[in-house]
Amino acid sequence: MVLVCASVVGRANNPLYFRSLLPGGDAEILKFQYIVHCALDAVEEKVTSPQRRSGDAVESYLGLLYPTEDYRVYGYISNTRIKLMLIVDDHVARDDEMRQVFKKFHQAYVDAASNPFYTANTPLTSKRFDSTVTAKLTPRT
Amino acid sequence: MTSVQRIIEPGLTAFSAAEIHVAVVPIGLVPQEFLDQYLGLITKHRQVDLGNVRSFYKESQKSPFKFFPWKTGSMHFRFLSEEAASRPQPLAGLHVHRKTLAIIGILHCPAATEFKRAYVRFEQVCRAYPDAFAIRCFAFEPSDMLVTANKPDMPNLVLFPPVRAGGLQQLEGHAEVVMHDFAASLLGELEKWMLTASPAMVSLNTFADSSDKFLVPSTIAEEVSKRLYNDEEMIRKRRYGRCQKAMGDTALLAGSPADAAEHYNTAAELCRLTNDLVWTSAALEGLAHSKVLESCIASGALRDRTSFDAATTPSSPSPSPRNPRIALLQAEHAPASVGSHTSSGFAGRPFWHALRQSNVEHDVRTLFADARQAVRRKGAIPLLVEQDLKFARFLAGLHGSKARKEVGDLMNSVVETGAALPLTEDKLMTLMEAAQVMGLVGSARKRVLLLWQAIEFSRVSERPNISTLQIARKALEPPDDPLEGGDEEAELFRRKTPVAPGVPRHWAAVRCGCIESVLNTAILAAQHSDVWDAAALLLREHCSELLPSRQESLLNTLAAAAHQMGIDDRQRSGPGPPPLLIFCRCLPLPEPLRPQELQILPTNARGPQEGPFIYSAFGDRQQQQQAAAEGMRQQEARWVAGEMGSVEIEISNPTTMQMKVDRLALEAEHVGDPSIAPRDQALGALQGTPSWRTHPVALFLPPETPPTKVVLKGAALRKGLYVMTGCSITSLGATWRQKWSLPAATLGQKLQPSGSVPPLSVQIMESGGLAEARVTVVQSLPLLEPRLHAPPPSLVPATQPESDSVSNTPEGTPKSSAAAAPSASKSGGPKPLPMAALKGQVLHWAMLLSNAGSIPVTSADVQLSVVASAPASASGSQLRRPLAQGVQVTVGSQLLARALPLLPSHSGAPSRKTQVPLLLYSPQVVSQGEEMAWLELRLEYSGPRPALSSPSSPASPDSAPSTPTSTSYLGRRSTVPIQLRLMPSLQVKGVALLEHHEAIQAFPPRQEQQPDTQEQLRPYLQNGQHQPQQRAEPLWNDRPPDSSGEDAVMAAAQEAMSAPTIRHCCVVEDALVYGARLPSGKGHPTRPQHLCRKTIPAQQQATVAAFAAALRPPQDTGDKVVQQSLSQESDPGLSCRRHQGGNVAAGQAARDGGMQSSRQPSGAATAAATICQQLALFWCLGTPPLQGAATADLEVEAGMLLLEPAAVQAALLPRPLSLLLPPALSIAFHAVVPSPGHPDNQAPYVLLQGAGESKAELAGRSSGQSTARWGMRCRLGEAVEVQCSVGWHPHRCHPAAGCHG
Repeated sequence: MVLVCASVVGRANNPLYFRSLLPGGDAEILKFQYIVHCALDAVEEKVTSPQRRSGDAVESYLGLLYPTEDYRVYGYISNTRIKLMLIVDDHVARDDEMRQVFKKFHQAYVDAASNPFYTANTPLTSKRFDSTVTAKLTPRT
Repeated sequence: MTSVQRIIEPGLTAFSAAEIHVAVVPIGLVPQEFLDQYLGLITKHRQVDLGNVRSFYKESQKSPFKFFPWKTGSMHFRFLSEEAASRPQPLAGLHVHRKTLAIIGILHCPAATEFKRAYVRFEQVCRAYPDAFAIRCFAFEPSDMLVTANKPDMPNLVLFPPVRAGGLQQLEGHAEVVMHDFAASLLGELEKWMLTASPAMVSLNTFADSSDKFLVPSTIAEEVSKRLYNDEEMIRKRRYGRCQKAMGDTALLAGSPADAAEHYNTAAELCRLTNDLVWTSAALEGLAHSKVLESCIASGALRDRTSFDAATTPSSPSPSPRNPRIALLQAEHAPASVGSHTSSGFAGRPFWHALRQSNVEHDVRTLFADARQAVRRKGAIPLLVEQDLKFARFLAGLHGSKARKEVGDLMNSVVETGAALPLTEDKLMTLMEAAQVMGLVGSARKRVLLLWQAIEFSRVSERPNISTLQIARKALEPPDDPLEGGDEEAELFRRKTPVAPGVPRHWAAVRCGCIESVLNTAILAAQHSDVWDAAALLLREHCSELLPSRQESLLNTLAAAAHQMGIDDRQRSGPGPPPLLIFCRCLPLPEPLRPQELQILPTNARGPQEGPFIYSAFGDRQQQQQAAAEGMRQQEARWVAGEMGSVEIEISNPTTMQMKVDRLALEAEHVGDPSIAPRDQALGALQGTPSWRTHPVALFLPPETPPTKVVLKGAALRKGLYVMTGCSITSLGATWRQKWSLPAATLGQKLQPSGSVPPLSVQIMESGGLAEARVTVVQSLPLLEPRLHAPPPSLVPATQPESDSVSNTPEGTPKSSAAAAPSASKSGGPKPLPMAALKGQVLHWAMLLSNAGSIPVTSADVQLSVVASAPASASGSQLRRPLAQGVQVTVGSQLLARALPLLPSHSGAPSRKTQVPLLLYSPQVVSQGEEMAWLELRLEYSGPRPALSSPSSPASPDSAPSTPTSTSYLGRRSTVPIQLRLMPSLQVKGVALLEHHEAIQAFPPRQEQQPDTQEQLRPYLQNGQHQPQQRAEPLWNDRPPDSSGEDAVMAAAQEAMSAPTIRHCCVVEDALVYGARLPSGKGHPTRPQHLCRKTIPAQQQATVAAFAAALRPPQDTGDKVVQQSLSQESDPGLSCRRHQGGNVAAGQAARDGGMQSSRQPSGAATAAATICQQLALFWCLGTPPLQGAATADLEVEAGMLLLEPAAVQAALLPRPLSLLLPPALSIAFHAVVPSPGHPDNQAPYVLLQGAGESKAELAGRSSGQSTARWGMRCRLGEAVEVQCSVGWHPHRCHPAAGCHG
């Protein structure tokens, strides 16, 4: 499993952070944008009509959102309706593995959002967050 | 077969099988606007009820339809452009409804030079459609010769009546009849085909049987089965099955789904039996279609005629028509076309709701599943994709976004399957259709992704750039409405719509990607207008995301595209690049121009109409409500038709380039007048009168200009409601209409949860524009220009020159050179007009009114108010001073009422001015120094009243005297604020009461008493012959005439008068102090002389000693004349109120007070009050204008000097006098020395020796008949003492007693 793109999407489905994790992956960034944008439809579907029984705990991990020919999009939604999305290459990823990755990603976001100088729901420009995401998510986790 | 490029048709639905394809072919040259009109006439009849068709239907043979729904059914047409209809239809052998079964030619006769050749051309076109059953050539606007000519060789020609002869309604009615006839003939042909259909006509080797583009290569098992079913019997059955399928299709097209279902059932059975899988699938699909249509008819889901009629031509934005006929047609349809998109019966909320209720969904599901299964076995992928798309559209219509998941899965499989399609066009069509269906269920983002993939695919597969551009444009458009059918006629109408940003803007990168792809493909396709639109959209909405270099290149692209575009295209109908405009508000008109609701009483019923009750319990509340309503009205901007209004906007340039706007003009739309019917408004709009006149400006915007306020102007020319739609901007070689954009969100709005506020895009799309952008325009009103005309000393010039020069004239009307017109400054109303007055002065002003508008003034009223507090514009130093109280103004309203109506001054003729006299009494106050007073002259006027007010017109005031006859009118209120500087002048310094003999002794040059007395009496006596008749008579009339007693009294009085010493007279001594603080030097190099005038009523006997002590002025510029005279007040409206009618009571009080002991404080006070009441001193300003008639002295500026009751009382108390106030009084003036005459005034002057060293002249002369005056001329800066005694004079008994002096 190789992560190729990490993205944070705000409450109003506006992009807060978008980063291609491929080396030299800027060429494909528009495609990733389209794919993540499209996966928001799936997020909406999953959030509005969750397929879980009444006893189940609310889970942040949304699972596979949108499979394309080459990539798969996985999603995670926080309590504040911040969506974390990851695009992986076409290899099948295990859900447990993805959960771990998303937890790290979420932690990094929480750290960045706790910065008193950060205004909620605005684009994340923190270099530290960027380096954390790059360092923790790029190598195989 | 080799030319087949596409198998999959766009826009297929579950109802497509019931639509007859009709090619609409313009023959020869048809101008676009006429073509649009004719197409509109035809496409209106996309659905024709069979009930209407029946009257045109001729049953020539027995109908093949057993269950034909004559009452409830309908036929459906799908009108195709020539291009779409002539495209090869490879599946026409499989589906009858893919064939083009009818042709309609459109011939615009004025454009066709040779009619016969045009008809031959039409017949040639028809030959390209061999399957066509019905052919019609619609000839519009035929010439008379054509109408009368015999046309045996033109059987299919249908002439339409000319619009000029019968009007548009007749044209529409004609089109309806023709279309019903067309449907009836088509029905007859279909029936004929049904009757003659036989299995022999069916081909077994169609495109669907053999083409490798339709079927995947067959497997060995299929080959085996093909041979197995290939015997004669099977072939016969197969033919029969296919024939049944075709008959089912035809029955469905004819509008009889029940018959169709029967045929489809047979076909499905037979085809399944013969292993004809493609036809089995098609028959099952047809069965599903017939079930759906059957339930449509059964449930009444198809729209009834009325709502169908309301639906009209596609409501896509059309360019403004140049032809009035088309404008009229569009205007007629404009109100009805709102809310409906297509004229098809297969759309709309009620349709889908009825279908949802009919439980047809289960059957359709099953049938489609069977059909898919059959076709999958055969591997006919295009058919599979089509069926999936049809089914998905059906689900989307039925359930909307609730079916998102199911439709999404279906579309995923469609896209996957579509990838295996052999034809490129089909692959592309699959992607686009899947995208459109995803848009129907609300997956706008997936739609964008699919369309983006389609663009990329189109680019990769090297399709023509224009086709790619169409896809790219589609990606930007908003998704279709699931409840409405697709806009299938867009191709037919060929309207160019601007690039519309349909993608939500919160994901800028995706949106930019879409727009960039449009831009790039448009550049490649050389579609300059699309290039311009896309570049403008990028700059307008994504400026912040673009690099400066990119912005610059986009601006260059814009300029280049504008250069390449045609002249018509340079007038863009849509929005363009920055500058962005934010609407702030419609500014209300300045106060004098603002229309107001006025309560003008009819002229004869002036004065408040009061009820029988003094106190009204509801009065307060009513007043509050009125005040609140007034406040609301002040907030609301109301403009006047034909006059300039202002709108405040904010303009911003977000780009990093500087922009030059050649022309920025406000655009407004006349929405309508609530008092006029919509149809009349539409007709009014056609009369060619423009409804808006704009006032363009040019701007230069530096880079990154933040929102900056700009005031734009425009004149609404009609009455009604206007909406400010935006601005027309000309820049970079193109002109476009920029709509208002929303102000940037504040931080608080940004931080709000997204669910609580509607997204910005929703607000901006609100129909009718922003609520604040509406302004009410009232009918034209007259415009009066009030100018204050005052004698020169009253105006203080040069202190505030701008207030004099600025006029309140609106632009567009001739400017006046009003020197004293109130200025209409933008904030805070007009500046007060600075005036100056002396304390106690009586000012004679006039207001000059001229009508600068175009409507006569029929009612006008002038009101006056004294503003208690200083306006905000007053400076701090002025605020600290006390405000003078007691300023009184009288207006000659009757003169104004008599002058009505004031006709407007035309441009050529000199303006007529009406003069309204004003009389202002400035108060005489004790305090020293200058004081300020603020006055407001309010002029209310209105034009001709509406007819409604005729019952309350002043014609019948007596008929309903108890009811108030006031009505509220729309008029104007003009305010002339006056800032009055009150400068000190004469002042009563002290009062002393002397015994009469003391007063007499104070004049040394008296030699003998008798002549002296006569000399004293002379001026008055000359006058007294007439004056007492006027003045004293009421008093005498009050008392019953008692001639004997009266005579006795008079005799006693005369005796007393002639006596050398008079003991029992009261003497009042006044000290007049002239506070010489008049402005000197600059403004008034020659200050006129001051004339003091003293008026003493005839019913009083007193001796007045007046000391006019003139203090030292800055410049000794002239003489001062103190003049005393009897007052002659003929016009109560123009005179001092103190002397009106109060003489009886006052005289009585004085008498009572006088008879009592003056030691009593109450008696003294009463006596003092009476003296003050009765005694007033007037003075004049200016050269003594005493030569004219006596009445003329009211028009000179006169001042009034009042005695302070406290001062008089103080003078009374220490001197225990017994006041004797007999009923008859006379005045005696102590004219001491006969004057030698004055050079200016030929009347003899009498020198008066005053206290001090001054030499004063006392002019005693008679002027006119009723007034006697004498004056005293003295130098400024010197104290003057004047004594006068008022003594007995029995003039009434001896009218000519003193004449012989």
